[in-house]
This record gives sequence, C-alpha cells and structure tokens, in this order.
Amino acid sequence: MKEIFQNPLFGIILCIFTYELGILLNKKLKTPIANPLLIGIVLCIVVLKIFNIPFASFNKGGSIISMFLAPATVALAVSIYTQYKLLKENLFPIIIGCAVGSLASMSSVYILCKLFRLDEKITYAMVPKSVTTPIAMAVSEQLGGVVPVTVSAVVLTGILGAIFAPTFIKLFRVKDSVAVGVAIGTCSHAAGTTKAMEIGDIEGAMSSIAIGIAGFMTVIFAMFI
Amino acid sequence: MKIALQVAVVFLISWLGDVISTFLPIPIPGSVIGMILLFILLMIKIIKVEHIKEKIEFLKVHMPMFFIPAGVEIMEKYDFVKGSIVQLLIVCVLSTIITFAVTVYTVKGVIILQNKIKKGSEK
Repeated sequence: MKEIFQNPLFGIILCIFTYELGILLNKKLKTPIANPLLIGIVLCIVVLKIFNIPFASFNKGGSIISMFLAPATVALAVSIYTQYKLLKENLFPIIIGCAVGSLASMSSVYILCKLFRLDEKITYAMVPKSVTTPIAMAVSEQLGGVVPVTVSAVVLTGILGAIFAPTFIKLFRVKDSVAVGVAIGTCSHAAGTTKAMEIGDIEGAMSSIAIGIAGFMTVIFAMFI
Repeated sequence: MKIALQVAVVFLISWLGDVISTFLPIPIPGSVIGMILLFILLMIKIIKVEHIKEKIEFLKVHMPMFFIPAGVEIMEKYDFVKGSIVQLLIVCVLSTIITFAVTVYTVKGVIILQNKIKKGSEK
C-alpha cells in the first residue's frame, strides 16, 4: 500500500491540486489569511498525516516542484529588465534600503531572541532568516546555528511576507512603489516577491532586486558577527 | 520560440548559475547568479523577452506553488523547535514587520534626499 505513494506523480498532483484549491478558496473568502500558498501547505500536511504518508514519499514529487524555484527566481530578471530605467534612477536608495533593512532584520532577530532567552544555536540560526534559503543556510552554518531551524524560519518568513505585504503597506501608509518593492524583497525574499508581483510591476521588479542585494548584504554583515 | 526550447533556455541559464555558484568563494545562490546572467543577456540583446515569454509567464504565475514542498518540510523539522515554537513565531512576525518598516522608510527617505540634492544642483 505504501508503494503507491512512492510514485513522484503523487507529490506533484498533491501540490498542484491543493494550490489550485487554495486559489479557489482565496477568490471566495477574500481574506489575506486564505493565501493559496498557505492553504496548499496546510492541505498537503493534512493529507500526509491522515494517510500516514512519510514526507520522503511525498517529496519524490515535491522535489520536482521545488526544482522550479531556481528557474522562477532567474525569470525575475525579466521584470527587472523591463523596469531598468527606474532601477538606474533609484539605484542608490535601493542599495541603502537593502543594507539598512538587512541590518535591522538581523539585529531585531538577535535582540528578540535574547529577550526570549533562546538558546545561542537557535538565535544564530534565526539571524539570517529574511534572506533566500541558500544564503541563509550558509550564514547560519558559518555562525554555528541549527540549520534546519534556519530553513523553517526562512520559509515561514517568506509565507508571512506573501500573506501580509498588503497589510504592511496599509499599516505604514507608504505609496511609493519602489520603496514598497524593496521592503517586501528585503523582509521576505522570493516568497514575498510573489506577492509584490501581484501588487504591481514596479513592486515586483524592486522586490526581485532586493532578494539579491539583501542576500549579499547579509553575507557581508554576518562576517562581522 | 517553441515552448520546449523556451524551457530549455531558462533551465540552461539557471543551471549555469548553479555551476558558477559552486566556484565562488562566498555563498551566492545559483538562482541569484542566474538572475544576473539573464539580466545581462537581455541587456546585450542576445535574448529578447519575446523569445521566452510563455515560459516566463508560467514561472511567474505559479511561483508561490513552488514553495509548497519547502513549507510542508517544516513538519519534518518540528522536533528542532518543539520547545520554543511560540517564541520563534513571535520573533519571525515581529522582525518581519520591523524589517519592512525600516526598509520602506529608508528607501523613501533616501529618494526624497536624492531628489533634493538633484534639484539643488540644477539651480
């Protein structure tokens, strides 16, 4: 019985159907919490738990879906290219924003973890959580953090950005598309960028750039810890 | 271009990014290098947006879905955070809000400053 879930097609089917169901629910419910990505993740976990399917079986297909992440990130270059003029005009504010934002992310995480008296290894695992997974993992390892905690925190942060970016925009009353885009990419990497793309072309392009620059800044700052 | 060819072109750039990344001394992910590569190829007009339009559109529209397996994997990591899950959640939420606020106001502030300097130099 277990073997039938070993087929990679199972994981692929589950991801696509739960995601599409998420989109359907999102259209019906119209609340930011009904986010297709979040619904997809929760439904997949529920199905795996109910039928007692190991994650490894699911991930035979799941890893094929994950494989598309890198090409999708590469594809963001097209959005940056179409906004090249705006990028050139605002290059300085974008770089400063990514640098200050990354510093704010790392130091706020550190201070909050200290306030909660969390373990040193957990704290260092959390510090790079705002940047894209490969960078965050490398930084966490270098600092001596627990890498699986880093991976979970990165994904969770990305989901938070993807769900609440529009809420943040309202909360802080900022209308500047460049500033909003850079902020989304800096605080919630590629997952948040998917929401920036939905908000607008400029937001999407700026968020895409911020994935790279904020990631780079985080690597540099981590060298001084 | 045919859709299979479009897929191959984007995958090739992505793969090249990964190859280059393994040779770099600092941890810059292959996807970010691939992004820079594609940007350069577009700038020097070796690739035109029309060449890869459908593939790019597909990746853009479905990008959130590609994060599902990573999200499901958190379930596997649960043992690592069991004891402090609530604290970690609060840290994630608060620091994400703080980072957004600091970044958004920094960019906005520097843009205003930049415009002032520009205007000043024009006079």
